[in-house]
Amino acid sequence: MQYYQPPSPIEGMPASDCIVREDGAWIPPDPANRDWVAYQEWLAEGNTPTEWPEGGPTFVQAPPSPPPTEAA
Amino acid sequence: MALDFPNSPATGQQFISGNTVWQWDGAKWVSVGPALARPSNPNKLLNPFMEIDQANEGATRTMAQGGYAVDGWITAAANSGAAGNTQRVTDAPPGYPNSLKFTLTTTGSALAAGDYCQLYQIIEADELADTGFGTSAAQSLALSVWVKANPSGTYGGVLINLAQTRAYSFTIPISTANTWTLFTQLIPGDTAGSWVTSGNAGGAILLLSAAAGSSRAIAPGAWTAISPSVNGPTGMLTNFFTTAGATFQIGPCKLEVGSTATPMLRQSFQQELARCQRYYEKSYDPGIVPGTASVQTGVSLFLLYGAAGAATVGTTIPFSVTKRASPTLTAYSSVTGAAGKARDAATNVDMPCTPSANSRSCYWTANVNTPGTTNLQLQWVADARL
Repeated sequence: MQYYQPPSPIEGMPASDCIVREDGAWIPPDPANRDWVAYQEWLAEGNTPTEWPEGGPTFVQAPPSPPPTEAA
Repeated sequence: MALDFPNSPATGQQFISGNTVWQWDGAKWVSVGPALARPSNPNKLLNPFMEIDQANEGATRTMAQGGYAVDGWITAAANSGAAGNTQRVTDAPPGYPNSLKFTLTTTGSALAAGDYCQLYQIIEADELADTGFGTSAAQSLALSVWVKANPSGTYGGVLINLAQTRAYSFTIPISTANTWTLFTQLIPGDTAGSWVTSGNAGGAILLLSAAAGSSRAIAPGAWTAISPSVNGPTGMLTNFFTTAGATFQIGPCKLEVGSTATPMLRQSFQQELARCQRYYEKSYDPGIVPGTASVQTGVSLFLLYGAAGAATVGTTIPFSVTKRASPTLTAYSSVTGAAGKARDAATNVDMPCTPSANSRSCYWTANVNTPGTTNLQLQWVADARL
């Protein structure tokens, strides 16, 4: 798992307090958000988020699932 | 037609067949009236008819993936060598549209102490406000659930507090493989333990199980102080992972306050979708999996101000339903489906975009590719699941 620390979306504005997961999901700092809880656990393991690369990260994305194969 | 009454019923336990409710009086089953004429208590379970599947739309989730298999219901399994998947299917008891099915596609090894196979739901604490759990006024809960499985044998379930320190397990006898069976279970109120019964955090876990190794099973029929990772009662079948083509399927279900099960009443699709959208909402039309390239539905971001050079566009989107908590947000290019991107419709380029949100709405911004661009398009998902 990888997380990115995003920059300010608009020049002059403060940086976002969200964290961005490797799949492009923006996670708000809400202790009731399970993704934020998972991020805190990831930090507690000694990990640190990656700096936002120039031009933005290339997100990992699973392709949409194939059509369901119905099996009764 | 012979009725398949539950084995070893408790006095007062009810069984519904067709429109008739049967009750065990301690010695025999007695008809106590038509099911549809009886009042129905509210259902604590989300998506109890397995109809809503916003994230997968009927596609499989593999055993390795786990996670939400339909809205509200999570799949999880572990066994050395086994492979399987879970999906919403249209095989269901008569009169119902869907069920949730785990299928073993590769047999595994003999059941180990830490193995498990389960479908479960985390119930939000506010849903437990009228249970009185953890107090002397704790109320009984009645569970009714349609189950179908192969092989036949003893399956099980557990109700657990979210801290995973209290659990009540029960067995689910499946006497005939591949046959839908309505199972009912009375769960006495828990007057002890630590229960969270208000607020937007999780409050309890209802877990239905096809396998639970010896270190993950507790004796059924009593509230028990536990350590985390209980997955079922003792006495369950041990050959699920070694049976070729094994399946475990749950259909319509209901968990309610009360000492008897009342009829399951299906809400409209729109009503149930709205319940589910408290936890997960997408801009795509129902039936379209997030990440699909889809221009026909979704949201356009329109230019708020512009100037020579790069301009920033943005828009606020109110959610259809207030979310349980601030959601995790993901954008998808409407043309390519790329995550974290909005589509600059004028220059046909995917651009990075930035969201923010609270429980009521989300706000998106993105930089246009070139001056003069007037709109960007994106699809989105807001995830506030437990």
